[in-house]
Formats: sequence, C-alpha cells, structure tokens
Amino acid sequence: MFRSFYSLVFCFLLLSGCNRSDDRQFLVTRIKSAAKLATMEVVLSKIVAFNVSQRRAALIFKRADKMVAFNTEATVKFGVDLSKITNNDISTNGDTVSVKLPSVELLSFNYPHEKFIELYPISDFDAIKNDEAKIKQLDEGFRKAELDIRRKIKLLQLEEEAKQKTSAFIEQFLSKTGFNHISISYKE
Amino acid sequence: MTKIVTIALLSGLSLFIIGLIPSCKKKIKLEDTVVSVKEIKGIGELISAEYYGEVLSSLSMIESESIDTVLSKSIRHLHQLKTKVDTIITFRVDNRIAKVESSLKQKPGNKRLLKKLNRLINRRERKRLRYFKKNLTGDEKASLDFVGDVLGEKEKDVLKNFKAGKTIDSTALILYKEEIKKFKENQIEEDLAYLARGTVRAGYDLTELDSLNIFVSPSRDTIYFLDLDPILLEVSINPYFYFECDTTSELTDSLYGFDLVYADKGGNVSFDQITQLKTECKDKLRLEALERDIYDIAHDNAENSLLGFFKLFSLEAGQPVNKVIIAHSKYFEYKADYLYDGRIDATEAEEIQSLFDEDKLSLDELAFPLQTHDYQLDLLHKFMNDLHRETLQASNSPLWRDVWKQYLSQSN
Repeated sequence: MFRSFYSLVFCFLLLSGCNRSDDRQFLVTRIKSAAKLATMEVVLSKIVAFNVSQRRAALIFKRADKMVAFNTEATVKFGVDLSKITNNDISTNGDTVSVKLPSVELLSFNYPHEKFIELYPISDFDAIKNDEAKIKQLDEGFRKAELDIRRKIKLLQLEEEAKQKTSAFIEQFLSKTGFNHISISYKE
Repeated sequence: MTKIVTIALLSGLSLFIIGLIPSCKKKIKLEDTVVSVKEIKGIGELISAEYYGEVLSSLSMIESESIDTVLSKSIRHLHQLKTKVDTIITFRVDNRIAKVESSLKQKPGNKRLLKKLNRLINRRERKRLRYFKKNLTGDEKASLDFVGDVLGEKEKDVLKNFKAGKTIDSTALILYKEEIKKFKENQIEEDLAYLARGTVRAGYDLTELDSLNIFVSPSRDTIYFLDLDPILLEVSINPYFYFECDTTSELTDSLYGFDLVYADKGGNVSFDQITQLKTECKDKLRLEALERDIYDIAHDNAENSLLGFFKLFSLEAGQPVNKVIIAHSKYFEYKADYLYDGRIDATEAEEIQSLFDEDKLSLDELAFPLQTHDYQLDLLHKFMNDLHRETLQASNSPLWRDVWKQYLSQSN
C-alpha cells in the first residue's frame, strides 16, 4: 500500500514538474515622447527551422514531428538618443562646433510576420493537424528566433558603421543650419 | 510481481497523462542558422512619439467586417438606382397623383381617395421601373450585376425583385436580411483569435530637408522647418513585446507580441490565414495610434527635441536658438482629416482626385510662395503615397482604389 502511495507521489511530482502555461498579462497602453535620431537601418535575414510535434491521443507514445522552415527578415535601426546630449557635450568656436554624441544604440527592432515566407515544399505547415498545438509551437519558434537574432546583432559589430552614418548625417544636418566646421566624437 | 506491475501501470498512466496535458510539451528547438546582413543604408529619422498598444482580433471578426462592407456597398448601389428611378417623370400618372393629393387635402382621411392614391403610386412605380429597365446605362447595369452577385441572381431577376408598390429601400432590407442569414449559416467554424501587443513610432524623415525647407530668422534665434509632415515611421508587432528595444535576455515575465487567445483544437487554419489575422492586428494598432493623436504628439515633441538640440549651439556668440517651428505642408491637413477614421470614403476620394488634378497642373502660390512647382509635385506624390500606406485598404471606398490606380498609371 505504501509503495502504491509512493508511486502516486512520484506521478504527482512528475506532473508538477511540467511548465504551467503563463498567465496572460495585460498591457497598459500609452503614448511616450521620444527624442531619438535613427541614422542607420539594417535588414537582417535568418532561416528559421524547427520541429512541430503533432500530438494524437491515439498514438500517445508515438509523436509525429514535422519540420517547418521559414525565410525571415528583421529590420533594426541604430542611432543616438538626443535627450542624452548635455551642455557639456557641445562647444563652439566661431562657426566651428565640437559635438560629443552619446554612444550609438539600437533604437528599434522590427521582426514583421509579413516577411515570414514558408520554404515550401521542404516545409508544409498547413498539412499539420491540430490547430491550437501547432500554432502555439509556431509562435514559440518565432519567439526563439527573435531572441537569437537579438543576441547575434551584437556579434555583427555594426556600431562602427552606425557611428560613421550618424556623423555623416549630423554634419550634413548642421551644415544646413549654418555650421560648416563640425567635429564629432562619441562618449565611451 | 504484483508490485512491479502496479508501478509499471502507474508510470504508464503518468506518461499518458503527460502526453495529454498541453503544457507538458516538448520544447521547441531551433536549428542553428546564421543571421546575415542583407542591406545597410543611411537614414535620418527623428522618432518623437511612441505608442504602446494592445489589440484583439479574430478571423470571424474579419469575416463579419467584410460582410458589412459588401452589404454597405450593395445598399449604396441600390440607393443610387432608387435616386435614378425617382427622377423618371411619368407625366400622366404624376398629374393624376397631384389631383388626388389635392382632393385629399379637402377631404382628409377619405378611404376611397387613399386607395386611389396607393393604386396610382404603384402604377407610377411600375412605369418608372419599366422605363428604367429599357434605358439602363453601363454603370447602372454594373450596379445591378453587383447586387445580383450578392443575391445570387441575374440582373433581370434583381429588377423583378423591385416589386410593384415596394421601394428600393425595402429591397435593400430584404438583401440585408438575406445576407445576415447567410452569414449565420456559414459562420466561420475554424476560428482563431490573437491578443497583439506592439509599438507605433511616429516622427519625421529629415533626409529630404534642403535649403527650400529650412529657414533661420533674421534675428537668428528661430529656426523654421517648412512643409515637414509627421509620418508613422514604424508599426511593429514582434513575437516578443519589449518596452525598450535593446533587450537580449529572455525575461521570465516578458510579454508576447502575438498571444494566442483561441484556436480550434481540431481545426486546420492555414498559414496564410494566420498571416492575414496578424496583419489585421497591425492595422488596428495603427488606427489606435492615430486615434490617440500620435501625429500631434510627434509634432510637439519634435519641436521640443530639436529646440533642445539647437539651444546648445549659438548661431552667433551669445545668441542661442530660442524657438524651433515645424510647419506642416498644406497636404498634411487633408491627410490628418482623412486618416481620422483610418479609411477614405467616396467623398474624400473625390476631394483627393480634384486636389491632385489641380496641383499637378499649377503651383499653389499661397501655400508655396517661395518654392517651385517641382517642389509642390514632390510633396504631392509623398501625400498620395502616405494615404495609400497609412489607410486600412480593405475599408477604403472603391472610388479611392480607382483614384489610386489612375495616379499610378499617370506616375508611370
């Protein structure tokens, strides 16, 4: 009897080790003011491939996994936050201006679903049954892909190029308002 | 032996239950693929307002909206036809009706006169319809074809449905009731609903500024940016939703961008349908941002940020910039008006057409006193493209689609 009891406890522990689905959170909608100057746009591409499992009650010990693959694109914008420029960052001498800009940062990340193109016939998402399970797995796959892209952006070392583009834009912009000699540097 | 069998059965039962519980799922493992740079380009966008919002949409909501569009269109066609029919003059019957009405004024409520009036009105309707049938124009035939397609009937049968004594309004009502009935019978079985969270960013594209747009006041304390209109720089709903862009950690309390609310367990929704629904969510988010006056906020914030930026400089020693003014082009007022409800109706489409025709030919010297006609044309083209990009295409009047097609063919 005790062994049966322990077996039941074992089953309970096994089941409680499974992840519970997240409670749905709600967003407080709001409009926020911003002062960001985006000076470089980068389009990144990534092939996203993973297995979607079909769960059938009748074949509970046999999972039929199907591979799905999509060509995806993300667009990221780099630039500077103008609100971080202070009095101490600017000095003028006649018509020569020295500007110390804040370091360039990632200002926006856009991973639009319209750019998710299925690689047919390698992938056939429509052939997979069971909507709720397959759609959840699909969305989970794209979330992981987003995290992967965000991690790998740093490895691409785009900051130098972003600085060059920012300097070029600011020089051009300031020259239109009468500043012809501009020296730009960046804070560390 | 019994104990071994019991433990085996209990373990098997546990695995069975695990397999059934959706939350105990196999984790998704991505194939390790590279992230490659496809394109890099220089831009100059001032992001001055960001809207964080949440919308809900489902496939059945899209379906019901498209039915509404078809119904409104059908009823509009019928009203146009009614107007035409009502203008048909039938001299003899009209005279007789006028006489009976005048007699009714002297003998109000007279049953014989009322019956006679009804008979004459019915006769007039029949005559009008008969005349109308014989003299249909191309547009009227097209309208009847459209209504016929919705009703599943041919053009001549549609006219038969305008029964003697009944106005076209009644036919419109019959049509509406039939469509509601069809909608309920064919109600979408495989539904899908998402709660979507995203960001709309608005601001200004500063790359096109030149000497014709930027003016400095004689006292050198005010900078004017002329004909600079705010635009929606980005509408994004990503798989994950973050308030700050630069986030790489997998936060345990992170929000999903697309959060599945409902999907039929046994259904078979296609990938295209999922994409269509997600696009609908984006359109709704865009409309919400516009309803919250994101353009006005972007304008005010841009003036403040640029003022803060220029204030740090001295145009002359001891003469810092005190004011930055961003003036919209004449087209922005039209755009803000049209985009208020996210769609272009027939009246607005006509206004746009006449504005385009006029400004294509000649310079509006009042709006652009210092600029050339080419300058005006550039802004005009930008205006047309912004309207196309920033409206909910499916809800626009068909007249706008014609205007847009005409504009494209003229531009090419």
